[in-house]
Amino acid sequence: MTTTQLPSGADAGQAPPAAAARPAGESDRPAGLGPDAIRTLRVLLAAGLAITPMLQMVSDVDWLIEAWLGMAIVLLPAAALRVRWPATTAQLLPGLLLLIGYVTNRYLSAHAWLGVVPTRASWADLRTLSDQLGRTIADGVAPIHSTAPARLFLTAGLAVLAILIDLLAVELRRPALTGIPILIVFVVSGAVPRRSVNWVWFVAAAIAYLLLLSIGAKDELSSWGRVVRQKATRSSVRNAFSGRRIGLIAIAIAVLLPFALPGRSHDVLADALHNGNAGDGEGTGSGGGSVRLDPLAALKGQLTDSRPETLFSVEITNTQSGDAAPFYLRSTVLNKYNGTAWVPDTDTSTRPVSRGVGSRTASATPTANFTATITIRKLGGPAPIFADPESLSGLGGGWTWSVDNLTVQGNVSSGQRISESVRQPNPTTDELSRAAAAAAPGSTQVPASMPQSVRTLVQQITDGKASPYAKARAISDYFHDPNNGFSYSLQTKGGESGNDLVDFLSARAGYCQQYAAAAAVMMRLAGVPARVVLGFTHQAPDKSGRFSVTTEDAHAWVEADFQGLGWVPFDPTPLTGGQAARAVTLPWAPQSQAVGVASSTAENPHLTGSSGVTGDTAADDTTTTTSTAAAAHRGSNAATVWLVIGLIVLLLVVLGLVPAAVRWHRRRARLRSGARGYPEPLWQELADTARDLGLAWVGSRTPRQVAEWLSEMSVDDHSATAMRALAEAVERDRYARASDAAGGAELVAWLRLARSSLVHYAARGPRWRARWAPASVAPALAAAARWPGRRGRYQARPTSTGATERNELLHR
Amino acid sequence: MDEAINASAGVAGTPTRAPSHAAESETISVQEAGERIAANIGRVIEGKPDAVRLGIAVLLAEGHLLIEDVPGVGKTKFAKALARSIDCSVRRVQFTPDLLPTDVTGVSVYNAESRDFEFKPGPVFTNILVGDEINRASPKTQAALLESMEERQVTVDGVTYSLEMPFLVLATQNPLDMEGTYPLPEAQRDRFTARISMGYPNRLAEIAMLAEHAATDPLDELTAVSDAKQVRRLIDAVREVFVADSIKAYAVDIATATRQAPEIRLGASPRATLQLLRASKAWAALDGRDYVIPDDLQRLVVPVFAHRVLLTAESHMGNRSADDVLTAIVRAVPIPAQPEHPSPNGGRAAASVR
Repeated sequence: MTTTQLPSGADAGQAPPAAAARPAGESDRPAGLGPDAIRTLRVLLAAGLAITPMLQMVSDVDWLIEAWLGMAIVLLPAAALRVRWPATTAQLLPGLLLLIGYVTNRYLSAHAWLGVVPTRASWADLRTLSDQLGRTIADGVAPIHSTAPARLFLTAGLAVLAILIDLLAVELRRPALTGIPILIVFVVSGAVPRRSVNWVWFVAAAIAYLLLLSIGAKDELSSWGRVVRQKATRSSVRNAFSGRRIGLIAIAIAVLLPFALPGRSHDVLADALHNGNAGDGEGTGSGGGSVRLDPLAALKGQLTDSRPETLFSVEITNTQSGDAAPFYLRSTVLNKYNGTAWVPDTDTSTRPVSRGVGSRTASATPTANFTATITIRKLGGPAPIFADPESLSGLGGGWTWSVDNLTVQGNVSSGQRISESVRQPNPTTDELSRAAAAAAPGSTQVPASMPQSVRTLVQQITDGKASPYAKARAISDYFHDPNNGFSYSLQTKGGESGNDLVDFLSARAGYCQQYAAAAAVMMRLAGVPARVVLGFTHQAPDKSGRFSVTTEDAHAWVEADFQGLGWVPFDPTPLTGGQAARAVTLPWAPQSQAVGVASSTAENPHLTGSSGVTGDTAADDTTTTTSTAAAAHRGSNAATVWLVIGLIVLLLVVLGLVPAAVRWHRRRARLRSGARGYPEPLWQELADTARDLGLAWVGSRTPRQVAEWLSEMSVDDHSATAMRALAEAVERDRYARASDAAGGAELVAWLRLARSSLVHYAARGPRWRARWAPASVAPALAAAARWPGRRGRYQARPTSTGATERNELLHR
Repeated sequence: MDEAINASAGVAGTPTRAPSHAAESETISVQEAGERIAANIGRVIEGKPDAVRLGIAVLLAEGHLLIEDVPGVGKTKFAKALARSIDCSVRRVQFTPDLLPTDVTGVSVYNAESRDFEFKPGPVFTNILVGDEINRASPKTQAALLESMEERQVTVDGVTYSLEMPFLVLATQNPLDMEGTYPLPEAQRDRFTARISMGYPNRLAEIAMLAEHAATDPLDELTAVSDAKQVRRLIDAVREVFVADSIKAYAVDIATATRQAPEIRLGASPRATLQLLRASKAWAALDGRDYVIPDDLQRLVVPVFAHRVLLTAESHMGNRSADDVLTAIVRAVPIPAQPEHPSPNGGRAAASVR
């Protein structure tokens, strides 16, 4: 007497347990129409709509076309198969294989067999691509550019998403549950770029969801089996629209409500994801390092204030000329400007540290000599060292020395002690003024497309300055001059010009990254070889020559190259208040202390090398350069991110177990009161078991009808007898004056028998669901998630078969 | 059997729970009596155990039975067989258009000897009245009969005469589209507890009927297996059948559903609900139970409600019968939920006091 027991079609009884899982709506219709095929196509359409919010994460649209293509490749073969056969999981396999072939051919064809079959080497290619993507994600700030690896993983991942939606909606008949993947896409699209998602995308996702739901509504109506046009039209319109109406109201609320609420104050998830982007990807000396002069992108999300953590400590000893303070610690050099961002040069000559460190040209200038012992506390990436090292020890093997950059490449670890004897160049202004610009190849290169306004500005600033030093100084001072109104701010604003440099120069607010990048570009425009250096400022050493460097000390500055003097640092960033104490005054480029217009929000000016460090293209990231500031932040942020992820996972696991636990608790309580001789709780337990297994427990069935129905499900007589006995006990308990019912132990034994038989004869899927996602725990939720075709048939049986059913009832 | 009924009747008045063996023998006795009568009728009416059982249930529920079907399927024979199985007074009235009310209820005639008006009781003064083709009589005559059915009394010339107990009207009628019929108004149809239709006998039953009826009328050989006194006791026993509160709620739910169903223009009346419950009690007793279960109600909804509800024009056009609509309703109305957990002071004790 259940929906599954009344199949009118041919599949009745072919495979009882499997057939039981098949929705009843199916059997009415001729297989030739392929309702599942149509559903699959609708799923394809809905999934295609649902991923459009991700346009917020990726700056171009190429990936979307490819993702759609991937989805179509996965789902269309399944749809074709479903024209003839009802939906199964196996039908997705051809599409999956096609997808693998397609993706291989598109992105990994180099080592693929026949261009489509991935080989072992393709696997390595994939790893390379995924590393690239990892770096892009780690260092980039959304919206990222869709590089090949990004497109590859988006295509594959979203195709899998389509498969998931298909499984939920078409095969499991739970279209309502597809809301979860759609929601995940939506939340990620909103949280990762750290800005609210445009409402248009919400509407797209909502339409996708409604589309999936309305498939269900249509199925529900048609599964009633009888189409009486006049009556049905009205009610079907009403039914179909009720869902749509709810959806429209929900959209309206979701769009309008934010206007009534105060702005987003603190978005924990977005913060976690964002910091994850900024600080994640702790690499073995492979973090990308490029300063992107893009207030919008680089500081898209304004940095949140993370507690300063000590990264390493330094002890200065053997100071030989006390007048020169140790300058900043350098770790990464960015010496290529590609028009939008500073990136590290890939082909600098390197040699193992063991073969000695030292600059290419021994400087003739006076030097300040001292020995520094750097003890790493919590830092990855390259070692922060002073320039220029005479000798380095404590690094271990595998480190390389870049002669041009004066940096060591490798990966420091906690507890490592590096001792460095430093000869810090200390040129005088006279020397500098006399020096010509070095003729290092490429170090004055800027793209030809630099905006004219910037060129004009540089000409204005350097007008009348003859020597390269004067020009560099003028540019550095330009930023320090209070009259020019540059301020330090982590709250950067975007501009309309389309060029980050122009935007920065007109907004005149930013932090070290932007100052350094802008100054370096401008120096190059003025003909002075310049590059950007990432590293750390520090407090003045205490009496014993010690100081420690924290995450707040991450910094970026500029170096200019002078003939015979080598690279000389300039710090264009205007530092204010307490932060000024961190700045080391350069004799040749003193900072104006009068600069005081910094934004009050700039409490943490040096915070971030990290979020500004972004790989513009994946290719730029393949070098082994490392980021300093980024690495510095990684230590703290990565831990937070992993903690948050861990907590979320834990929470999800716990939440996932809640229904099963609730169910288990209920069963125990029921069995206990059943053992005391009350059959009603046991009956409820039986009802819940049936509901959990996806059987339609119809409220109008009397206990003995239920017993008949259930014993039809389970073939063994023993449990059928138990069910009847239990039904009778319930009947007596409910309706008789007083009952001399069976003892509690007997009742419980009956229930156990009935239950185990029901579970035993259920298909694996329902059984699994019954255990881990019991529908009876949240009936409303389950009803919403239930594919409509499964219920309703019993209640509204069409007249054509009414007579036979009535007769069945008569003979009960 | 009489002793059993007596025993149960004695127990029925006591408010506390009956000893279980008494309850058992009581219900078995109704069941047995019912089976015996049913078997007896079954000798005449072949292959219609359900219709026969419904007839007995209506008798025990103190109701009246309307048998509606095309001519010649055994309506009258069934009425006669039921009447003859019980040793009590049986009258039969063949309703015709010219039948007068007094022909049914009785008439006061002047007795010249006593010089007074003397009441001559009509056929209604009996235990079982077989009203044949009731819808052929004029409305006035129908009304007279139906009034006596409901009130179980007849008033002639200002004097009220009580009818006998038990009083069962077995009315037969042809379907309404037959010639020469006056359809019973809804209000009067409402007085019949249940309406059944005989339906054509199945093939074997019809063959058997030909064999038997060809020789003699089996009705002649029918002997009474019960009497009025016993039927009265059975009726008493049925009255004692227990109806739980949730069953009452269920009956009301079903009736309400018929009133709210879009296919139905006029739903079941409160009287219909009452009749449903009474019939269910009889049905339960015939089943050997001393309590009503939802199955009883579900079984009886169609015979008890179908002749009372009026379908909308759309339903008629959609070719839906009242039976179909009611069956759908029964399938849709949930059985009232039971509190899962027994009341704190002990569910079982509370249950016995209910």
